[in-house]
Amino acid sequence: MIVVRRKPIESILAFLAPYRKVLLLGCGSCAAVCFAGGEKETEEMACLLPVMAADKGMDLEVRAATCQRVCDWEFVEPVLAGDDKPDAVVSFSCGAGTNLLADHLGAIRVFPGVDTLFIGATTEHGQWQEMCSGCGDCVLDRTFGICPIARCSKSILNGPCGGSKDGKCEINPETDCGWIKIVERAQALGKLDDLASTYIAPKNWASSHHGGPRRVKREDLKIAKP
Amino acid sequence: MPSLDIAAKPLISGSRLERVLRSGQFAVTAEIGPPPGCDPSVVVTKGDLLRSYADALNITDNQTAVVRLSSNAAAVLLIQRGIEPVMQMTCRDRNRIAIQSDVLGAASFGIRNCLCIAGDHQSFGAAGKLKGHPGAKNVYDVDSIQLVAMLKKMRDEGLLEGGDAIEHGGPRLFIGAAWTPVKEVGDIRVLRLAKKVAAGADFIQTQGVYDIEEFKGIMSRARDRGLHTRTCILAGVIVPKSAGMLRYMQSSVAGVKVPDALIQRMAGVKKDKAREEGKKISVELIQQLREIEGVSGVHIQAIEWEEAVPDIVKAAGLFPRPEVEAAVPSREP
Amino acid sequence: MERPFPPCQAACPVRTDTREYVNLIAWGRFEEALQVIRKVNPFPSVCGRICQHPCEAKCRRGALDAAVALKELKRFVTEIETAPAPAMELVPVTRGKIAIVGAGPSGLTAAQDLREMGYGVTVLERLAHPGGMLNLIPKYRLPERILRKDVEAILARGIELKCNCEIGRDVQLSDLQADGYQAIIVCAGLSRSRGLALPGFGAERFVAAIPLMMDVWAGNPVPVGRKALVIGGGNVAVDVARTLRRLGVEQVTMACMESHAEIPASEEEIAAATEEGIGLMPSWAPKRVLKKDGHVAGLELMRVTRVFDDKKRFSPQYDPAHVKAVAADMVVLTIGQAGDTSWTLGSPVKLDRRGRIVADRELHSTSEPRVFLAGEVLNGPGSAIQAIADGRRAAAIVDQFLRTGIMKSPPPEDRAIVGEFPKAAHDKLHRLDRMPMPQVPGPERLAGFHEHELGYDQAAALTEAGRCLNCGSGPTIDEVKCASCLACFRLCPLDGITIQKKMVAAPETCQACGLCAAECPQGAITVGHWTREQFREQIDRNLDVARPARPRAAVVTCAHAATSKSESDAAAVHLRVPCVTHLAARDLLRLIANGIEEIRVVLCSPAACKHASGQQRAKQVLTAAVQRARAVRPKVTIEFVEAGQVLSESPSVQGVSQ
Repeated sequence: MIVVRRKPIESILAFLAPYRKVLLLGCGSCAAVCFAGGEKETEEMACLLPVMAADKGMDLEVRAATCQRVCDWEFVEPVLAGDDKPDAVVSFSCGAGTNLLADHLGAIRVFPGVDTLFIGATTEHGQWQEMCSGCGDCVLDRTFGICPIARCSKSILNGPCGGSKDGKCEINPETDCGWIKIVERAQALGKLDDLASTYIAPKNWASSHHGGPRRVKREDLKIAKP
Repeated sequence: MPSLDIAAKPLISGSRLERVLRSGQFAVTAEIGPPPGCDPSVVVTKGDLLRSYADALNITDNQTAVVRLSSNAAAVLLIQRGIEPVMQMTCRDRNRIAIQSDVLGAASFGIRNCLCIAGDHQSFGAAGKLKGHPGAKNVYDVDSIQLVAMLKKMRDEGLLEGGDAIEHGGPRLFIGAAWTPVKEVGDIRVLRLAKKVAAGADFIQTQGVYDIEEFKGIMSRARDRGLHTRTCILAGVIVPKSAGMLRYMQSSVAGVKVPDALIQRMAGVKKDKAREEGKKISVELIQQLREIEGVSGVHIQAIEWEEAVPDIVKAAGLFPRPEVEAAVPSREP
Repeated sequence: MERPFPPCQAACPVRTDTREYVNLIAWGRFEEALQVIRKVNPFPSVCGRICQHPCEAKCRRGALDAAVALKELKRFVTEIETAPAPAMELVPVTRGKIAIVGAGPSGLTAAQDLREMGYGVTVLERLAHPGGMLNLIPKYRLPERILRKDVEAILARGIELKCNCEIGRDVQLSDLQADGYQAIIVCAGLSRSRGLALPGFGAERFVAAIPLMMDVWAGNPVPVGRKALVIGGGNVAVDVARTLRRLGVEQVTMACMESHAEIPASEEEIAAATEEGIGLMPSWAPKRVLKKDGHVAGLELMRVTRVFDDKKRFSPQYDPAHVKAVAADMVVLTIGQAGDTSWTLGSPVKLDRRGRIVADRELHSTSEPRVFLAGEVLNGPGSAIQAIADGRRAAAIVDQFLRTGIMKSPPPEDRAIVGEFPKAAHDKLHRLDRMPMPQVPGPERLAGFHEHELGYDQAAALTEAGRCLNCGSGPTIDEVKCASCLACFRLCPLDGITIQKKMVAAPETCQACGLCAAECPQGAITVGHWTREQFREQIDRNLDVARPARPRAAVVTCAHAATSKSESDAAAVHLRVPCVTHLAARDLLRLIANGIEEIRVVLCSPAACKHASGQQRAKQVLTAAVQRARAVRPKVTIEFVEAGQVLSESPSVQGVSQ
């Protein structure tokens, strides 16, 4: 999932200074699953923000709503239908949803209620780890399923570097060295020789964000206009 | 210890370091840390100090991600004074375009020796009292092995990484890579050394060695793969200044293993005698390393203490340095 | 969640799964369609001829163009040639025995149900033959062999039938009670015609309907006149009128109290009567008989100003001053029927002051324990299918009572009925004409009592069955699998899916085109009864049959296109789908993985396709699937072939293995 983390409430409040009627929009997908921006968290914000606002002498009217997913407009539209439009929306979805909102909302300002961190997986309840950097040209076939781009601090493709110590990355003793994980995995699979003889050439980063904002267009799925 | 394979090949770059290694003599390289400023005299002074005591001088490249006078600029300063540099290139700060460009630039000054390393993560720069640039966007467009291969392609094929031809042919480079000679799961360090050699590393400078026995073991495994005949391994010696420094390296510096006995030895010495002891230890290490088959030289790192190097080299019996043809400052066919 | 009833099923007194049998017909699975009908209706052939089809009245297609010809389709499947059924294994008698009085539709239905539950059943029938009032339906509507077919199938389950045995005359109720029958269900029907207190009634050629029709049935000579007047506006009156025409009466007129709009006879019957030259005089009632030389010479009719009061109760009002004399040398009264309650004399079954049997209509019980009523004798005049349903109810109550000692009527069904078509979806539907029933032209019919409705041929049946809107048949969306990807929501050509956190399908709108199911990335949707597994099985079976040959071509025919001449490539694998919109990429890939290189999809032209906008999408998706497959099998091709508009005489609906 896309792992997000709620922004500090003070930051959120700071965005809202010029606005009166605010909608806090929660997302029932990734943001909910990492307990940062689902219905629960949005409602918590809806409780706390007005209190903090009042303390600061701000006149803030806050409403919370959550939809299944903010990154598909059909889910959001009904929430924003009706005459009682907010002046601003704080989106607790990942940046994708927030962007989509901005693309659609025109005169209504959109703010991020979370920081979008990474594509990751749950390692333990309440713990998520970056697993994928969305490079667009997956090399996991050669690294036994462990991503050297996302899980090595230097995105080394032929690692480990000299900074790996006791299986941990030089930048942080709590960070696993992604490449040691790859080596261990290769060993467990009896594929150390493969690893030894595999040289991964310099990556073509064009398929990643370095190649520009990306888009997927499936012509076979396109719905023709009636 | 000369190795037949290398000796038989024609000169690749013609650099002094290469010639020394080719001659079969035990090579010595030392390291200069450039200043965190633009005063060239620091580099020049250190260079002059060490020029007779090493076959080539490494200049670190923004080591620990601290901004210093760049390695390639410092290399130019040295080569213009007739001192042979080993330019260090990390993958952290430059993409392949910049790297290749810098290599062409360096080659235009006659700089031949390039050490290819990944480079410390930018978060290192904010250590101790320094603020560094931990928020900088790192590059790591290529890794160190890809860098070695890239330089080899430039030199041997006259082609840039993307495939375009280099005008008038590629630069003459003596390509180096680093090695962390410690035991690791899957013996990956040896496997990685093999990859570096396969990619085209002509010489290797290792991380500092203190545990001779462990190093002997890993060298044996490297020899099993014939790596010592295809590249020249210069064992790293970091000159200790204190027991604290040894302890710090043991606990916090990746790839450096300090045997307890050594720490105790340094600890047992009075503070004002520590540096002397450190030099002594370094000399002993060099002597022991010379005995190991496959070790072609030594790379002495006296961090912020370059002055220690001459004494060490002399005491190790490595002075004077051999006479070989001087490095040619300009390009030669 | 249970799917709602489609309106046709909800309207049927026996809850026939009409939608199911119609769809099975559309898919060419006629045997299975017949089984669906048989499951709830012991008189499928009879109903296929004469049912009053309350289902068609509620068919949602009626609001669009015309109701689907559900009765005609039922007739069609009952007529198909089937392999002789294997000898039925009789249900052993494990419980007591039950006597049923009357071998009409309610009696025989109760008999079958109870027999299947393991009771021993004896049916006593007053007449020489079973069938009850069904026998009196004219043979041009219900041929003898059809009635016999259904009755014999019922009796073949091991039911004992005693004809020429009238209760109250040949056997008494007390005899039956003494004979060890654990229950007795009287389904004696309404065997008497009502008369009118008009002088002259009962004279020759001034008769009541039932005796007349009994004579016709028995083949007895029936004295007829040249001009007949039939009093009555119900279907029986029409039966009589049309029978008289066939007996040679030149001029037959029906006169009834009801106004034209209120005429109880069905529109079809009235239309048929009109085609046969029968006159209609609504809003007239007999006032007095006109006689000449002692014979009936006609009736003086008076105007009826009103039949029902504002509370819809029968409360006729006349204008005696407004009269009309109608000459006729034959008058038949068909103004209703009454039951013969004479058998209750001397029996513990009580009558009320008005001579009606005291009975609990909910529990089918009489004043005497273990004696029950069912059918018209309990409920008054009704249709055959209502009688069948009533016999079933009685059987269920009797069984419940005999097992538990508790008298309980079956609980009412609490299932929603599919609502009306939303206008927006309605407007997107194609209008498709109802297939006409081939008929013998009006004048030719009168030559005898042969059937004049000839029945649908296979092409017509397939086409007509294809008009079914599949009300309420899907999709069901598995909430657990649904990833809320919105594909179904966006794709549905009728906007039948709404977003409520997970996707929810509106049963009123869905026409079961299957697009959503084909494209759901999670396989979370099933539509109607079509499943991927079924198609897989069809593919596997067909490939199996072809072995050792490995066919290179596959022809997938949309069921609705199958009526037209489609190609008959013997070397190809032939497959059937309800509509091309059901076909998923996976299905094609399965074919390709099994060596098929040429895929031809035969479908209706977009103008004729029931799922026209879906068809376009299906083509897009299937073409893309084949493109993808070309990475592995470069020679694979797909072609969409439009079936011709012309219906073939002998459609090549072949190779369809169920």
